[in-house]
Amino acid sequence: MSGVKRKLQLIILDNLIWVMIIFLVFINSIFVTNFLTYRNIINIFYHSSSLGLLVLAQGIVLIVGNIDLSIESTLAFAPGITILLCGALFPGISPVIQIAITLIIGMIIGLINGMLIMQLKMNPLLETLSANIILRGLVLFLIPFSITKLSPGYTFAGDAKTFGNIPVAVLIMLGIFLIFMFIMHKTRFGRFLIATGGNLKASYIAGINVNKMIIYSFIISGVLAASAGILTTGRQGLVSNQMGLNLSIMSIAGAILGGVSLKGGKGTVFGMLGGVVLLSIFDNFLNLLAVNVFLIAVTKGTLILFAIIMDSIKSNIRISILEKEKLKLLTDKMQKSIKPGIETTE
Amino acid sequence: MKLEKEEKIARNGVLDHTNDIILEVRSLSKVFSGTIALEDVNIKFKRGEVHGIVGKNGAGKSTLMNILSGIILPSNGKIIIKEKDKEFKFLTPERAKKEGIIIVTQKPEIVPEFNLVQNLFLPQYKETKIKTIKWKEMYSEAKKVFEQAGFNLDLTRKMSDLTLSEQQIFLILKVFYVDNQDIVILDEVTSSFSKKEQDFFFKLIEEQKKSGKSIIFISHRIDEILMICDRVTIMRDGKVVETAERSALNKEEICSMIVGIDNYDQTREINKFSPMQRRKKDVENRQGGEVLVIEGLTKEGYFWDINLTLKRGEILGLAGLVGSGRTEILKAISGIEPTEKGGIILEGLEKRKFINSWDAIQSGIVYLTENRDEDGLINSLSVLKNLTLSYLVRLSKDFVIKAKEEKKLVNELIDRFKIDTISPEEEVQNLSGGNRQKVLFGRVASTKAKVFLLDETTKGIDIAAKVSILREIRERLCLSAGVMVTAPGMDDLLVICDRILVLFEGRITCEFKREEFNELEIYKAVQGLNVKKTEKAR
Repeated sequence: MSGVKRKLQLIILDNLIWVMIIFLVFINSIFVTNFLTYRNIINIFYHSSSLGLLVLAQGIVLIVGNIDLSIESTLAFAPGITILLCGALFPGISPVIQIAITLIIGMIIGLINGMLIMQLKMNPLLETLSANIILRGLVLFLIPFSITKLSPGYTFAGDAKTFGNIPVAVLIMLGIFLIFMFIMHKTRFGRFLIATGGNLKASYIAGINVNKMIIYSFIISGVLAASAGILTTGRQGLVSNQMGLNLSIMSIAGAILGGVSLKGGKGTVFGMLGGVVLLSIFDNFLNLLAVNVFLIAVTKGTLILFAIIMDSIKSNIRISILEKEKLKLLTDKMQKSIKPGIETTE
Repeated sequence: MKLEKEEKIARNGVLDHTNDIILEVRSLSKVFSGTIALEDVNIKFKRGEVHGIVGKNGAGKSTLMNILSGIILPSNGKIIIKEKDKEFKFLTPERAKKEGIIIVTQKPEIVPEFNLVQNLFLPQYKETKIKTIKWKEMYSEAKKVFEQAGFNLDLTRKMSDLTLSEQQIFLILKVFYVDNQDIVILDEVTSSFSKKEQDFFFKLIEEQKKSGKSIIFISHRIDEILMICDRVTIMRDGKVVETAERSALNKEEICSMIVGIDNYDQTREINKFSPMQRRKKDVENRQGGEVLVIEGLTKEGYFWDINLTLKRGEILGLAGLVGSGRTEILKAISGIEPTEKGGIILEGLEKRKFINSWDAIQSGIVYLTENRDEDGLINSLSVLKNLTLSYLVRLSKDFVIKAKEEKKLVNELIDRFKIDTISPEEEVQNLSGGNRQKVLFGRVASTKAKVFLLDETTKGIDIAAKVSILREIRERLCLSAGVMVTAPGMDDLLVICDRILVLFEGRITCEFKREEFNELEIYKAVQGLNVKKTEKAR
C-alpha cells in the first residue's frame, strides 16, 4: 500500500510543472477577466514562441551535461548578420535562402562552441559566456540600432497568421517541439544525448561517441537560437541590437522548471514546453494586472531562484522517499526477527 | 554463577569484562537508497586490542568504519564511547577525532602537491605566537618520527611521488606518532604491501599495541588478520556473523563464515556444470580459432610486454593484486585507455590498436567496468535504458528505436538474469548492488561481442547474483566469443576459467591451465612468490 503512495509522490514530483500550471491557470481564471479566451491563450503561445525555442535549446544542452549562455546573442547575431550580408552583397536573394543562411550561421556558432568545449576541454559556462559577450559585441558594432528592411521570409515566419487566426510562429514552435520530442525520446541519437549527460564516462565506456554528442548538442542549440531570432525578427518587424538580451537566464529557468536537471541526463521536451507555458502565463498574469515593470523583474528573478532550488531539492526528496521506504522495511524485518528466549548481551 | 560464565565463554569465546570495553556500536544500521548496507550491527571493541574485521566486498566493513570515523551518518543505532560514558546517534570527523577515533582509509587522504612534512602535520601545523608556521621544528620532528619508525624517506619529496603503499605507511605512521589518538581504524591499508612492507607493518602494530592503543584492522588477507589480531569480527551482507577470539578460529572457519554456508552448496552447484577436472576433449571441442592476439603490449608505469592469445570459447582469467595491471590491460585492449606500444590483433585482422571505446566496440570488443556505479551504469536512467544502451550502439543501428523490439529484449534480459526490479521503467539507482551489477552485465552480454573483457564482474554482490552471472559466463557468453575475466578474489576465477594468467607488478609471471589449478600455488604467484613457471603464455 505504501508502494502506491510512494509512486504517487514520485509522479507528482517529476511532473511538478504541470501541477503548477494547473494551479496558475486556476488562479488566473478567477482573478483575471478574459484569461481563458481563445484569443488570450493563442496570445500566450505567440509571445512565448521565441523563448520556447530558447528553452528547448538550453534544455537539450543541459541534458547533455553542459550549458549555453550564448543563445541570446546568437538569436540577434544570426538574423542580423544574414540581413546585413544579403542586403549588401546579394540583394533580391530568395527569402528561403535567407532563412537557410540564418540557420546555417546559428549552426556554425554552435559548432565553434562545441569544438572549443570538447576539444580544448573548456568549461562550458565560461566558453559560452565569452561567446555571448563577443557575439553581442559584434551585433552592437555592426547594427547601429535596428534594421527595418526585412525580407518577407522573416515576416512570414514571425508575423503571419494562418487558419483560425493561429500565428505561423506558434505552429513553427509547436512543430519544432514535436520534432524534438520525437528525436529525444524515440531515436538512438536522442537516447545517446541523454546518456552522455547522465554519465559521460559510463557512456564513453558503453561505446557512445560522446565527443560527437557534445558537438551536436551545441549545433542544435545554435540552430534553435537562430530560429528564435527569425521568429522574434518577424514579430517585431525589425532586427534590433537589443534582441534577446537577458533571455539566456530565462531559458535556463524554463528548462529547469520543466524538469531538466542541472546535473544532466534528465529532462523531457514535454516538460520544457511546460516550462515555457508557465513562464508565459506568469508574464501574462503580471502584465494584465499592470504590475510595475521592475517588480515583474523581481518576481521573475524569484521564480528562477525557486526553479534552481527545486532542482536540487527534488533529487533529495526523491532519495529520502526511497530511503524512508527501505528503512521501514528494515525495521519491520528487525522487529519480526527478535525471537523470545535469547538474551541480548547488555 | 561460575557455570554461567563458563557457558558464556564456551558460546562466545570471550569473557566479557565490561570495563575493558572502549567503544561500542549498538543496533547500527545504514540504508542507502538502493541497499541495506548495515543491518543491526552490534560490536564491542576492547582497549589495547587489535580487532580485525573481515568480510567480502559489500559486507559492510567500510560503511561501518566510515560511520565510526564520522564520515557518514548511520540510519539507526548508537555509537557509545564507553570510557566517557557518552552515546552518539552519529559522529562527524571532528567529533570522532575529539573522542579519540581516527581512520586511515583505503584511498590515502593526502594533498598530493604538498611534500611529506606538510602532509605529516596536516591539519595542525605548529604555529608561533604570531601565527607563522614553524617549518624547521616540524621538519626535525618529522625526521625523528621516521628514524624512530625505521622508515627512510626523503622528506622534501612531494606526496604524489610516493607509491601507494609508501603513502599508506606514511599515513599509518602519521596516525600513530603525530595524531596520537586512542582508537585507530586501518581500512584495507595493506592491500598493496610488499612482503618487506608487511613485516614493517606487523612490527609497528606490535609496538603500538604495547603502548595501549586500540586498533581496528580491516584486511582481505586472512593471514594478516590471523597474524596480528586478538579478536576478529566476521561480517556478511551487512550483518555481523560472529565476533570471536583469534585463538578460537582457523582460516577454514573464517572463510566459510565470510562466504556463508549457502555458497559452499552453490559452488558445488556451479562445479556440477563445470567440474574442476575437465576432460581435455571437452575443452578442445568448445574452443575455436584464435579470436584475440596481444603482442608486446606496454604502457609505461602500468604494464610491460604483455603477450597472450585468446581463443573463441575460452575463458581466460587474469589474476593479480590490486595494482598489478589487470584493469589497465583490459582498458588498453578495449580502447578506453589506449596505449601506444604493442599490437592488438582481432580475429585475424591486420595489426591495429583501438584508439577509443567506440572504435573497439564496433569491432566487437566489449569491456565491463569494475566501477559499476561511477562509470558503468547511468543512474538517472531507467533499467530499460541502461540495459539496451550497448545493444543500440553496436547492433540496432536504426535511427528510430524500435520500441517493441527493445521491450522484448529487456524482458528477455530481466528474465534471463533474474533482475529484481519493480518494472523496467524503474530508475536503476533504486536497485540493490547485486541487481545493478546484473543490469550492467546484461547490457554487456547482449552485445554479441567477439571478445568480452569482464573486469571484476562479481565485485560486491550477493551469492545468488554471483552464481547466476558466473553460470552465464560459463554456459552462454563464451559460446561464440573469447572471454577475459578478472575477479576480486580468486575463487571465481578457479570456478570458471580455462586458463589463468598471473600478473605481478605489471608483467605476466605465470600461466596455469585448468588441470594445474591449485589455489595455494596461484595465490602465491599472485603475491609474487611462485615465479617458477616463467614461460610466456601462448
